Amino acid sequence: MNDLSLDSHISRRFNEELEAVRHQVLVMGGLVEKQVADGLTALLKSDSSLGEVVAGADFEINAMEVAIDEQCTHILARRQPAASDLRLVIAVIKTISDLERIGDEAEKLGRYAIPIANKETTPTYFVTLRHLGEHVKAMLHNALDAFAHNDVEEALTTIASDEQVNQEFEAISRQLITRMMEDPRDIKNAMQISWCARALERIGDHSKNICEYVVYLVKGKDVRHTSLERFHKGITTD
Amino acid sequence: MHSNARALEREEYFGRSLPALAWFCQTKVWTPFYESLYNKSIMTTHIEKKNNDTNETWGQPFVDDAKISIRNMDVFYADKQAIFDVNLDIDKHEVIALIGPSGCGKSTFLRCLNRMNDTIPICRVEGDINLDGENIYDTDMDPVLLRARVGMVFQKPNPFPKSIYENVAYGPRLHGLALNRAELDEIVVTSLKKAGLYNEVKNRLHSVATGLSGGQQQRLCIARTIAISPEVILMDEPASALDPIATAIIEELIDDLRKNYTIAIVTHSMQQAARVSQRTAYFHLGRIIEVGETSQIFTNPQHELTENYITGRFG
Repeated sequence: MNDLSLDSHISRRFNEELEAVRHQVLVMGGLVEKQVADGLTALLKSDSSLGEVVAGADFEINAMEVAIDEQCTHILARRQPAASDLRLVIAVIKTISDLERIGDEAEKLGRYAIPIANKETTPTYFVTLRHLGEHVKAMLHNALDAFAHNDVEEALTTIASDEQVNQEFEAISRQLITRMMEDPRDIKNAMQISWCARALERIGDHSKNICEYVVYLVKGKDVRHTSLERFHKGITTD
Repeated sequence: MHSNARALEREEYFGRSLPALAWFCQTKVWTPFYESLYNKSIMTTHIEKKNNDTNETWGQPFVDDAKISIRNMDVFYADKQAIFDVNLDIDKHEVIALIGPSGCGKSTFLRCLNRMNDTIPICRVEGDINLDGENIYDTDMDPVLLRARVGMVFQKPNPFPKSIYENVAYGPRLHGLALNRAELDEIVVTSLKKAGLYNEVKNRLHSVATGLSGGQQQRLCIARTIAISPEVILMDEPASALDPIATAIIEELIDDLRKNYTIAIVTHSMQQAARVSQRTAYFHLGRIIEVGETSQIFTNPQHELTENYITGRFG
């Protein structure tokens, strides 16, 4: 018995169930990434038809959230998982909730792309939005990567990059407020762009949450609502 | 009604989404996203390599002011060593669960705590086992009195073939704990009440004990054990022969008894260990690998072997 160290459970079906749930989360992550990319493209390229497609495709992500939640509930009821398996199921339940919210924000991008495409908008906003969008897409991709590889280092780096996203959002907001003060006729347009920037910033926050769940999954430490210094202190003194 | 509505909603979602998803799967755009993540993901759920050194006990094996204190304990059956260098403290008024695969030494360990292993000629115990600071293997320690202070409940209920009353009264009478019949009656009734059995048997105290159900017999054995006012109760898989309801009653009882006694319970059921105990010790091939607070052991154990056992990665 000393030499027997299997990486999989004695119950093969339990193993398959856990792997299936992980797999489903990554599939959902792929869908969400595509929605964010398309929503951003629709916005920046003034493509209102793509915007409509994005706005209409959100239901798939919602359906996946419901389905994965149900799978997790069944695993908890039938298997009473413990230790890392329990943390995996809990992390999955939380992650899909954040992924679904990201899907909602992407849908907003698609929705606002339609009226924004029909107006004349100054290119400078699009430059800053593109910048913010690229950062946020990278954060989401890294968060899902960290989940897929159980990579704490990547998760922590991604959490740290949320600060930059927040600063960029502040910068755009300031720009837009200045614009609104200069030309009140442009307020509606500027507000819509502001909401898009807010949606991107929210996607960054949700990606950061997913990274926090990855840290919990791997290390067993709940690092939500703590500062970065205390993260590192708490994790490395182990 | 609620779940029906949800089911219908889900069907609608899936009904609409299946063609879309099918189309989606064929597009060349989605696959790169998904593949880039999926192909690289770790397909096992082995989260990270934990400690795997078995030369010391991980976690917190020691407490201040312990009820039972074990140091450097080795147990041999003739030439074969069954328990290797065990160091553990059992705190007052706590329930500590001992878990581990079959044959890892947990029952042997438990039986040493009240010198039940004395009854096995080839068994040899070395090291220090202290109850309230006194070594239980001291020459002036009477094993019979020790077993009155450290009681034991076994896996298979074993009531004496006497009446219920006599079962419980036997111990106190033997140890002279009651001056007269009235006091003895009181001890019997109190013990049966504490064991949660009194209401079921109060009208037939003088009927034979073997007529009770399995769960009731086991509670009778617990009443018998507590009738002589022990300080520690050792339980060797007390609920393994019982149905879920009787098991739940015994577990409730263990929680109640904790106020007055210290309890060490050996169990094969990890869920039971998780439910009843405050601390858990994991045994593996005669060593204690890890000891810790139960909720921490079951959510984030420090040792690889503990993690493997608890999650069912090896038996």
